[in-house]
Order: sequence, then structure tokens, then C-alpha cells
Amino acid sequence: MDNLRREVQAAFARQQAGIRPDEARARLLRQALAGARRPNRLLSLAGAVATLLVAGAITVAALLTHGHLRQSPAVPNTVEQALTAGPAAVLGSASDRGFVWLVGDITQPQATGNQGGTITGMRVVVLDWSGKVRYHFDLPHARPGFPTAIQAISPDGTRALLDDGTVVDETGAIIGKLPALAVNGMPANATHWMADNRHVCASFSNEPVAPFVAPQPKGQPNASPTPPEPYTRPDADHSVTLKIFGLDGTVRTVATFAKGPQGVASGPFGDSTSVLACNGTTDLAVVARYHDADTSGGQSSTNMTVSLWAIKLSTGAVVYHQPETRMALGRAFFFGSQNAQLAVEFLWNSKVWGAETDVVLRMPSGQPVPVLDAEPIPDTTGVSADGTRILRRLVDQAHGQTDLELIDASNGHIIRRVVIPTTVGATAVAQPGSSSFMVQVEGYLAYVDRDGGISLLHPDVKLGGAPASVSLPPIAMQN
Amino acid sequence: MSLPADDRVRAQALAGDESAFAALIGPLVEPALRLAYSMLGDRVEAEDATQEALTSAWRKLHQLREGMPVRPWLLAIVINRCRNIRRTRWFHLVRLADPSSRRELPDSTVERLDIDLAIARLPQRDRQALFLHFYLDLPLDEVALALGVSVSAAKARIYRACGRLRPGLIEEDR
Repeated sequence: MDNLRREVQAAFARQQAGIRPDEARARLLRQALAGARRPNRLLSLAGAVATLLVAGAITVAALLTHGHLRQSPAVPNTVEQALTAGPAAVLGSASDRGFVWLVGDITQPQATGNQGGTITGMRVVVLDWSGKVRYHFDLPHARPGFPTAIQAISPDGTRALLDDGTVVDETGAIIGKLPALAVNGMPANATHWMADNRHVCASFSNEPVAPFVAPQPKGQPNASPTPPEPYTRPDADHSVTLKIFGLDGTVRTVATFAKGPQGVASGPFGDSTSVLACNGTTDLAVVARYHDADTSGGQSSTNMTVSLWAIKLSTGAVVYHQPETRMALGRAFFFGSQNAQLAVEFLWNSKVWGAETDVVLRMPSGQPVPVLDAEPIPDTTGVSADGTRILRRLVDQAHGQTDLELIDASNGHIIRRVVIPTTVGATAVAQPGSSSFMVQVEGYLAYVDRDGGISLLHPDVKLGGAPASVSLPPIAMQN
Repeated sequence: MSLPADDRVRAQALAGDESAFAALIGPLVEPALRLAYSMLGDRVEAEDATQEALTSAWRKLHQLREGMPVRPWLLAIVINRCRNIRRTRWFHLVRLADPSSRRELPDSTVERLDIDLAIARLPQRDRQALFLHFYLDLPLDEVALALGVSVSAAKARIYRACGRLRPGLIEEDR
């Protein structure tokens, strides 16, 4: 049997010679996530089928299997030429703006088998705002299977809160501990550094949960039926508490709001909350609560709703509340500007079935920035620290291109548009106290100033999704 | 396989954290792609199918029950996606032969040719079971979950496939 097993393995290995999983892994994952944010593919598929029936052409039928979600790999020069075709950015002084973190996985190859590598930690490369590498370090997993994760990076990049409550600086040195903010098993809280880089705002869901029951050993049946979670009861409290934690050990409860029943049905999953922005100077925090309103049993559909609150930090008063609104799938953890005067949320697009729409709200008025709802598939990539600029990505599937737009948040006007003739992703980090960004587009890093000037940066690192590479963190992590 | 993520990462992914989803699913992309390629025999189609399966997994992550292993769940999605592709009119129009028998055999010693052709002639469902168990090293319970059959049925498929590859082998093995 062992001989046959080896022969079969070898035969399958020969068959598999035609693919390159190492090259495809990160790309497929990235494209899959990007695809999930686009209109439901069934619509495209239905359109293609109809065309097939009318035309009866094999070439059209090919569209059925060569999915719309697939993206062509970006031609490097295409991205570079598009980014540098217009005016260059005014870089300013890099030294007084802090740092930007790039993060990536540390992967150990499997000793045997064909499973790819196991992620054993996180690699961090710290840049200054000129794009120069200043520090780099690794954050190994504390123990196998328990990934080390960053909860939040301070706007100036001099602090990062890890999931175990440890605070490290830009060199990786431990400079403090906030044990109350350790994430133990579930994302029960969400954290956000204040603009002073010394305090962390954290939101907590107060909904009632059942005590944890350890599963039975393998082979023994679990207790049946599992009782419903207390938070699914119609009268359950779904309130949220906002607190501020100082690196000096101080803790202040700002407010507990949204007390009492929610008025929206509760599905099997508990609430999550996050702090989109928290700023002492503007005296404002923006908090979101994400709620599973799918009571169908979770088997066929998902109906997530979101509420937003703007809270006055000095008094705890709620100065804005957006009631439960259906949100886009898979886009929890919205974000805001560092001054807390813009909030970005990803909502269900009722005009295009299955698609999402971005909404950028001015806080605390709750008024949306105009124009931004004109496109069916927008992706707000970033908002500037001072709340005056919005960076947005638009995928034009019909023409296979991506538009990157810098928008004036006061009136919705486009300041600069870059057209990249292929489908690309983009991530951004807002520069503290300014209207500028650092942007990553495919394997390129660029500085974008308030007037739309763009300059490529050339850090000595491998950028992108390939193994051993690093990338800008998600927008909600450092902003 | 030691997954790089635990229930906490799963919960974070469920809450919409894309990086947590990447940590949860990232190590499984390669076996998913290999499985898709083994079923479709075309790199581009395998990548398409894998990407769509990943998108589907992201959308359906809430269906992953607590305690259920992620790997067979994702591979089951891949299998379903590939089956759907194989059922399409387009696939049958241009795929006249089974994909696994179309590929080139660059190093065709007699033994290799024998085993390659024997595998190619296996029924699709038996070949899938063999691929999952022998090549991707999935334990039988995960093979069963991925194929949507009982463990005994998965075991039977593997044994039946082995018997077809080497008649008499089962008897020798007992």
C-alpha cells in the first residue's frame, strides 16, 4: 500500500506541474476579497447567459467560466506610468511626521505534504514619510496556533497595541501594557489610538452572553440542544460603552449609550463594535456597532446592520446617532478621519442588488459628502487626518480599469483622477495632521499630497502579497 | 495540518476582518488550487474556480459552525465550484476528454504512464478521494467532510480506487 501511495503521490505531483501556487496564493486571496465587495456575480452570470441565448456564440459562453472576478495581473509599467503621469507631490519634512508601518506574514514552509507554509508570526517594517526604512522587526506568535496580531497603530506610528494588550514602539520594544484591552478569544472590544498617541479609545458591547461551555472530548456528544444566546432575546440589552485608556494606567469611562433592547432581531452571532475615530482636540469619538440581524439560522443569507454614534468625549453626550442600517457583507470595522470629522461606512446598496456602496459622513452632523453615491462599486481607500480629503478607488469592470480619485471632502469635487488601465487594489495611511496620504497600489508605494501631486517612494522592501513581502496595514489599523 | 488560526481568528474574520480571513484561509489556498487543478486540468480555470470559491467562503463564513475544521469546508466549496464548471455547456463544448487525461506526460516511462493513465481512468469521485487523502494528506474524516459523504464511504472510495489501480492490492494489504 505504501508503494502505491508513493506512486499515486508522484503521479499527482506530475499532474500538478502546470500550476504555480506560490505565485497565485496571495493574488487569489486578494482578488477574492476584492470580488466579494463587488456586485453579486449572479447578476453578471445571468446577463452572460441571456447573451448566450441570443447570440449563441461560443466566445460569449467563455465568459461564463472565465469569471468577471478574475483580474489581469497588473503590468508594472502601467501602474507606475499612471501614478507618475501628473504633477509630483510636495513631500515636506519627513522627520516630524512619525512613521508608517508595513506588515506581512512570517511563513515557515511545511516539512512534508503539499499544504504550503504555516504562518508563525508577523513581520513589521517601519518607514518614515519619505519612504525610507527606519526599523524592522518580527513579532513571533506567542505559541503555535495563536497568531500575534496588531489591534491598532497610533497615527504617528510610534505605538502599536497588540492583541495581548502589549504596547510596542516603532523599534518593536515593549513600552507598556494595557491588560484590559487584551483580546481573549473573541473580539469583544475594538480599539483606536487617539491623535495624541498616548491614549487608546475602546468600545465594549454590553450584550449578555452565555457562559463558555467547553466542548466535550472527541467522540462524546455535546449537550443538545444548545440553548440560544441571551443576546438573541428580544428584551436583551445591546448597549455600548466607550472608555479611554492611558499608557500611564488611567482609565476613564466616557459613556454608555444605546441602552436597552435594540428593536432589530438578533441572529446567532453577537454584536461587534469599533471606534472609527477618537480625538481629544475636536472632543469627538465615532463608534459603530455591527449587529447580526439574520434570524434565518445563518444558513442561506446574512443580514448585518450597523449603527453609528458620535460621542462628545468631554461629556459623554451622544451628538449623532445613525439608526440600524443594512451594511455590506464582510466590511465591518469602518474607519474615520483622525480628527473624527469624517466617518466612512460600507452599506448595502439598495439600488444595485448584491452590491455595496460607500458613504462618507461629516461628523457630528451626519450629513453625507455629496457625489460619492453616484457609482455602484466605490471603495473609499482613505480619508485624510484633517478630514479635508477623501481617497477613493473605482473599479470600472466594463473597461477593465481602476480610477483612483482624490476628492475634496467639502464639496465632493475631484481634485485628481488617476486612471490605471487594469484592475488594481489600493490601501492608504493618512499622514498625521495633514491632508496627505501614503498609498500602496499593487507593488508601488506613493505619497499623495493635498493637491493631488503624486511621488513614488522607493523603500528597500518587497511590497505586495507575495511570500515574505509586506504591505500597508488595513486602513482601520493605522489612521 | 496545524492551522495558523484558531477560533479567535475565525471570529474576527466573521466580524468582517479581512486580514483575519487571510490568516485563516491563506494557508489553504494552495491545496484548494491544487484540488481545482486536479479536477479541471486547466490552470486559468483552476485559478478562477479557486478565486470564486474563496469569495464564496468569505461570504459564507457564517455558515462555518464552531468546531468544524476550516480545511474540508473550504475544499468542499472548491469541489462544488469545479463540479459546476464541469457541468456547464461551455466546458463540455471544449473539453472533449477528461482534463486529467489531456495533459502531457513529459517523462513517460512505462510505469509512470501506467499509473498516470490508471488514475485518469478512475471515476471522478474516486480520484477526488484519492487526491485528498494521498496527495493533500487529509485524514479520512476531513476527506469525508470535503466530499460530503460518511467516513466509511470516503474510505470505501479510496480502497476502491486503490483496487482499480493495483488489482489484488486490497487483498495483499489485509
